[in-house]
Parts: sequence; C-alpha cells; structure tokens
Amino acid sequence: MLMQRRKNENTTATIAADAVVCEEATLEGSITIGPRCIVHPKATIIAKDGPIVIGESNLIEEQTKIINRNLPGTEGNSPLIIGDNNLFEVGSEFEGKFIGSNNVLEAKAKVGPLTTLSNGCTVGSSVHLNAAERLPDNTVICGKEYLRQHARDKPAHQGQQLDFLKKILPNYHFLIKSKKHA
Amino acid sequence: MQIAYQCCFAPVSGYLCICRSSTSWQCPACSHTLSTRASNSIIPSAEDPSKSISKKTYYQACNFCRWTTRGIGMPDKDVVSAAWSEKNNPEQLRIRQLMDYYRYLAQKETAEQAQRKSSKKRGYFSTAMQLQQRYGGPRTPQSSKKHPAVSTPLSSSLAALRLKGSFKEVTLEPAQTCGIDEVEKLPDEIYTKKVDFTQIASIQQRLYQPSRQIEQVEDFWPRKSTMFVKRSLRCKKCDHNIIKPEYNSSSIKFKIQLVAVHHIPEVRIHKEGPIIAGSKNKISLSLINPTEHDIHISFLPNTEENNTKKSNATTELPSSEIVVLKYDEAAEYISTPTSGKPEMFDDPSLIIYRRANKIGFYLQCVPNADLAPGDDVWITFRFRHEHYGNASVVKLLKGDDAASEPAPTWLTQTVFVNIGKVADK
Repeated sequence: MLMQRRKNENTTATIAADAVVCEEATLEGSITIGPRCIVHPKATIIAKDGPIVIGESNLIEEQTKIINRNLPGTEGNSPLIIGDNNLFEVGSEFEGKFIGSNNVLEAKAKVGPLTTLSNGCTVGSSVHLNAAERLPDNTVICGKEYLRQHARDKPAHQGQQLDFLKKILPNYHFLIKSKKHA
Repeated sequence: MQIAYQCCFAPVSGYLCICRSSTSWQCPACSHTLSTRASNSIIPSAEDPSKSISKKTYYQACNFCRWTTRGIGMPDKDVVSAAWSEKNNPEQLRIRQLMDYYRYLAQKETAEQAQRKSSKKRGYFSTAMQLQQRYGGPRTPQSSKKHPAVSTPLSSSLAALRLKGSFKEVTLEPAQTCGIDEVEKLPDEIYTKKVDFTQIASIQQRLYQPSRQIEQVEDFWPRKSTMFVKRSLRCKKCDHNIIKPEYNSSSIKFKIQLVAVHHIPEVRIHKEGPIIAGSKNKISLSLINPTEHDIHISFLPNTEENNTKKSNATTELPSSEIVVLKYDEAAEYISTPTSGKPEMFDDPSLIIYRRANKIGFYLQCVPNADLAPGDDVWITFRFRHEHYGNASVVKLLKGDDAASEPAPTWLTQTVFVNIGKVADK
C-alpha cells in the first residue's frame, strides 16, 4: 500500500539537526525541539496557547500528549518548557508549564496544568497529578495509593535507547526536517 | 484460592512453611519482588593499585516503586549469588528467654501430670494386687521389670528424680515496666512542625515487618518473600474434590480443576454509557458460553428474598430465549465456517453482536428516581441455562453411541450488575 506523504502543515517547528521527529507525529504551533531528541510516531505536541520549547535528549514515545493550553479563564501566551533527558513513556500526558531534567513520566501518567516537575522525578504508571504544586527533586509517585517516596538517585539515563532509536527509526519512518535550524 | 509461588522449587507440605530462600526478597515500600541489578564501577584492582578495572557490583532494586538498597546505604554485593544480609530482630534475646521459660514450664507440667496419673492408678488396683505390692513377691529390679504396670513406691520416686534431672530450673526476669511519669513527653513542636510524608513509613509498611516496626523510610530493609501454597478444596456439602493441584510446586496445572468459569456462562458489561436516574437507559451486556454445548438462556426477574444486594433499578428483561453457541476451539483456525449451521436470525433490538460463543444483548433499565449523581446503580436478574455434565465424554470413551446427548440439568443463576454511576446533570 503506497503511503501518501503528507505535506507537513506545521512549518513553524524548529527542529535541531540531529533530532529524530517522525512524520506521523502531530506537531502544531510554534515548537522548538532540541538536539538528540526523539519523537515517536503518533505523539502529539500541540502549542495552542503558547510556544513549546523542548530541550536535549528527550524521548517522547507514542500516544503522548504535550499540550500548551491556558486554563479556562486565563489569557496569555506563556511557553511550556521541557528540560533535558526526560522520558515520556507511551500514553503519558503533560499539560503543565515546566519540566526540569531527567524526569520520567511512565505509561499513561497524566500531569495536569497546575503541576510542575523539577528534576529527577518519576511519575508512575496511570498516576494523575492535578494539584498545584512543584514536586521536589527525585520524587517518585507510584501505585494505586499514590505512594510518594524520595529516591536517592535520579532515574537512569536513556542513552542506549536514544542511540538505538536514532539508528532504527529512520529505517521505518519518514522524518520531519526543519528548514531553519535551531 | 492460593497461588503457588517459586521461592524454592521443593514441594512443601502444609501452608505453615517459612520462606528460607536468601535470594528472594520483597520491597519494604511496596512489597513487590526485588530484582538484582548490576552496575559497573571503576575501582583500583587488587593486584596493581595503579590500574583500575571496572567491576560489576550488584544491588537490589524494586521495578515498581524504584526503591533500591543503595538508597539505605546497604553496600553492593560483588557476587551475584551472595546472600543478602538480613537484620536481626531487636527483641530476639527476650523472646528466646521467654521460649526457654515456657519450655521449662511445659516440661514441669508433664512431669507433674505423669506423677498424678501414676498416683491415681494405684487407687484402682485390686486388693490382691495391693497386697502383693506391699507384702509379696521378690523386689528385685528384674521382677519389677516383669511387672512394669505395678509401680513400687521406690521405683516411682526414682522415676520422678530422673525426670527432674533432665531439665534445669529456668527463671525469668519479669518484664521491665516504667511508670507513666517516667515516659518522655512529646516535644511541643510536634503540633507545629511540618510533616514530611516521604520520610515516614506508613502503617502498612510498618506492619509488613512486625519484628522491626520501622518508622523512618531510611531504615527500610528488604524483607523475606511471603510464600503462597496451593491448597486443595473439597465441596462442603458432598465432600467431592473440586480443586486438586499437582504435586510439583512449580507446575501451574491441576489434577482436578472444576471451576465455575469453565461451566457457567459469564455475564459481562459490554459498553458503558451515561446513566440517567428516573428514565429508561439501554445497557449492553455480553454473555460468554464456555461449555462445549450450545446453550439456551432465558431470563427471569429476581425474587425479593433473593435480592441480597438491594438493587436500585428496575429492569426490563428480554422475553425471548437467547441461544449462545458452544465454545469451539477449532473455530479460530477455520477462516470461513462452512458448517451447515443455519444462519441465526437475531433481533437487532435485542442482540448487538454474535461471535462464536459470545453474544451481546441489550437490557432496558430504569434506575430509581431518588438516586443522586455518583451513586452506584445495581440491577439484578436471574437466568436459566442448561448444563451438560461429563456423561457424554465418558460415553464416547466407553465406545457407546455418543449421538444420544444425555439430559441436561437446568440451572438458575442470580446476577447482580453494577452498571455504573449516575451521571452528573
């Protein structure tokens, strides 16, 4: 079955030269993607009410939603900033305003608009965070009971996975290349 | 129904066994099994201090809550098979003392009982025996051996001495007590200091290790895995074996496994939809026939006495009988069924879909008008179905004419379904 190559409507995405962003991912709005990032197909990054800035070496897997939208009632154009080395596992959602570095959002984790994650946090599978708080460094929240713990080290670096995907993904997917370089 | 687990693969008897494995541990924070992870560390080698080699060190980590033994400062192990150390029970000494004292008391009591019994026996001796005991017969050790039931006063006192000599007196210090004035008072700041929940162990976590009762998260220690043991079950009424596991503890099969899921049709919720109190809602349920025979289902309303779950909705059940085909294992390998089965004409207002041994059907239900948004809505009904025993299989094996189906038994099942919560307006 011949796949028709979609014309990429979003031309305002600034993607670094060595970032791997699959064409099947949905990118809308003004988005900046840093070097060595990998965005899987079927990921959704929507910068509706403000730009989204994604740092280095982030791994954004399938069916993730990173949406920058204002809370009902607020106006404005604030950016959504994502740091380095974060892992957004399959099905996770992030609608906050800020994530630091080395965080892990496990599968189907949801972080609401009021929460900010600092560095090294792990949000467990199916954990929904809605409270207006800033999670301290290296916090782990997991389980049905939302067990909160303080881990000693930050989560392991995904270097191996990033290298592997960088080699393999272009063999199977078309990539989005940005005309202007970051 | 307990599940078998794989701490040690030796078959264990009874369910009171303690896990003695030194390699299987559970996370103290979330009680999932800990897995051993390796990490490379670069240290100076033992032979030549100037060279540094990378060595593999092992630590335990929980995959679920990411608790690691490194977090509590436990040193990493060099060899994979090294046993992880376990913390001792701080009250061990006192418990041992108590056990010794109890053992001593028990021995003393049995000795006293034996004495009392032997003294009682003397009363029941006939006069002839008593006379013989007192006056007659040689009293040599050999003759007393010949009549062991007859206990002479000398022999009984010797026996008592013998028993006493086998255990030594054990005394126990009474437990330390202190008056209420001596107990340290709580600091005043306990009411004002901000509590850091991530540092305090929850009650559940404390009780998982009752011997240590840790209060701080930093004192956590891996705990021994609990063992699950398979048990066999018998029917309470007719004492027939229902579940009988295999002797091999690592096998998941059963010798006898008569579970209801394989015999009784299963009712499941097919699709959830918004439920409005006081008005008609169409709910979709599905029925699965696990048996090897086609079954006919007819619905009946539930009786008042049987309504233990107190349903809060009235249901309009299907008036016609539903046929559900049998579970055919070979059906998935045959792409188009060419069998001469007649096409079922299903009423689309009743039956949503029909797929092999599954069927989806609609039920009209009216939840009580006084239900508030967020309340659970329970419906109840009964359904009648037939059940074929193993008689047909037995007949087939025996070589008899298997064409004649044995008469089925008709069973009625009561079902309570929670179809969801009442939607907000």
